[in-house]
Amino acid sequence: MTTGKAIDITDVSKTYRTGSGPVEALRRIDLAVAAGEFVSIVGPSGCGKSTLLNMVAGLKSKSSGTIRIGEEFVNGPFTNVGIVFQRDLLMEWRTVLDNVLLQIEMRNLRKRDYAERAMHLLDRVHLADFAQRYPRELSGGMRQRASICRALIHDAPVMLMDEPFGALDALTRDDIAADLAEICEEAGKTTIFITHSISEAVYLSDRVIVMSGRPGGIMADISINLVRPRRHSLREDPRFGQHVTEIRDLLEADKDSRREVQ
Amino acid sequence: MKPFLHRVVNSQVFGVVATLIVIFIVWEMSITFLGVPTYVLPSIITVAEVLLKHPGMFLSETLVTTRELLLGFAVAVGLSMPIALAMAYSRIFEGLVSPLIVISQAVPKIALAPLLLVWFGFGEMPKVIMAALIAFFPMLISALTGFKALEPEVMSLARSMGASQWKIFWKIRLPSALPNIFSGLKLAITFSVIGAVIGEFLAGDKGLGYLIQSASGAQRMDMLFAGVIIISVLSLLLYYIVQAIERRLIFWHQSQDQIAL
Ligand SMILES: Nc1ncnc2c1ncn2[C@@H]1O[C@H](COP(=O)(O)OP(=O)(O)OP(=O)(O)O)[C@@H](O)[C@H]1O
Ligand SMILES: [Mg+2]
Repeated sequence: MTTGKAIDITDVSKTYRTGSGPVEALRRIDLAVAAGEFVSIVGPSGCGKSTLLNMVAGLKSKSSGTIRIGEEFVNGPFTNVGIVFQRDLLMEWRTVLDNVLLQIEMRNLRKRDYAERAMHLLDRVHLADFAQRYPRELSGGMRQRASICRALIHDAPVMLMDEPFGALDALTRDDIAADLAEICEEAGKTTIFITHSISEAVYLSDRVIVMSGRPGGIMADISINLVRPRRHSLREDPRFGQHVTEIRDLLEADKDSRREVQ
Repeated sequence: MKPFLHRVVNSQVFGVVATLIVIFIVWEMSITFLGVPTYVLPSIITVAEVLLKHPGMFLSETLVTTRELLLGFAVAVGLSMPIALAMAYSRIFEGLVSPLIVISQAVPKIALAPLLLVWFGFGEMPKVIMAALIAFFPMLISALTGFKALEPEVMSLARSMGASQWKIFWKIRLPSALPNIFSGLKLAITFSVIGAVIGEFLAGDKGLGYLIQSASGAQRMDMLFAGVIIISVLSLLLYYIVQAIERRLIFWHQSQDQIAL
């Protein structure tokens, strides 16, 4: 694992202008992610996680601060990334394989050069038999697996995921999380992963960033020094449980403190 | 039920035929049992007779109307699609054009007919224009809804792929607009039939609308009903043609589910 900063967020704030006045979503965020690191972000709903991720991807403007990915400053859509949203956003008129290859077509790359890799990725997420099917023939979990393949196909160094398993049931998400852990470990991707599931964050991550409620700020930055490769059995490790408890307590404390303010 | 029987009963053709049979039965019964006089409602038999007696005449009037309505349909689609696109891509254009369109929609098209006659004479042109006028609005609204249907997240995804506007249009926006576009086309084709027939009512000496009008003047109820039946069949046929194309093109859309039993 190299140690250069793959993603560097410096003093970033975001205030939305709305009809009913400004909404301060994020205040002075500093966050550096090393190359190959898997960083999860947890925090209460509305604390600005999606906003932050979108700013990293250059899809939303920052109010202040700088964001750097690799050597490049992000000002406008950043394309050397793979993005997965909560909804799979598959194109219903394309087969699963063609959905994965959409990424290639949109980038004006040659589909032929990537067809084999696409099939390999689909195989990794147990979708090889469904390559020629249409999205509506797939379950929610299978659809999200396909959209993860679409984010991986062009082999970008950075993966940004916004609650990719948020819409799935607990069993399905554990399964996909296990696959994702494997793929990311192998490929050494730098990943920012947003989730509401604390155990999922601990299971997948090298670090878990805990955010506080609005305006969002970083409350804690917790290193998860658990063995890799991660396996299901890790969930029984007492240290796994300790991390989960620690993060849950932090979030509860933040919730309580804000209740008192009100 | 056997699968074949099941498919027949569920098919659209079966539904249409069954409905027609019921209508015809009620029709004949009201003449026989309720004593509805034939100058009000001719027997289905006499209507069939008149249809069979003058097939050439009916065919040529049908072709006249078909030509007018298809031209009107083409004009409506040809105009509304680029306008819908421009509206979807430009807020300013949308702001300028949509009040105009809404106002124009409030004007009853029929009221414009005398004007069309003054401007375009008694030939084919005013009929084509009437068909186009009536078909334009539903087509525009449907296409606009379709082109604007892209969710912001899909746009985000596309932009993160570094895609050009051109690619986004062809590979994402247009296909995702197709279900709405086809709803519009289905409305537009049936509205074009109405428009062309109305145009023929008002002036001229050709087409199914003219045929109905003159049959009514001559108290030829059999002829009048023959005309109405042909128009209905024509309208239905055109609708099903559009629908058949739709099924081929957007088999992937959920709207196609319940039909494909
Ligand atoms: N386009 C917008 N205009 C105005 N306010 C916005 C906009 N998008 C987000 N916000 C506000 O910014 C804050 C952060 O929103 P964001 O979606 O980033 O939260 P989140 O942490 O991702 O929440 P969740 O966990 O529910 O997804 C919220 O209070 C939200 O109301
Ligand atoms: Mg969010």
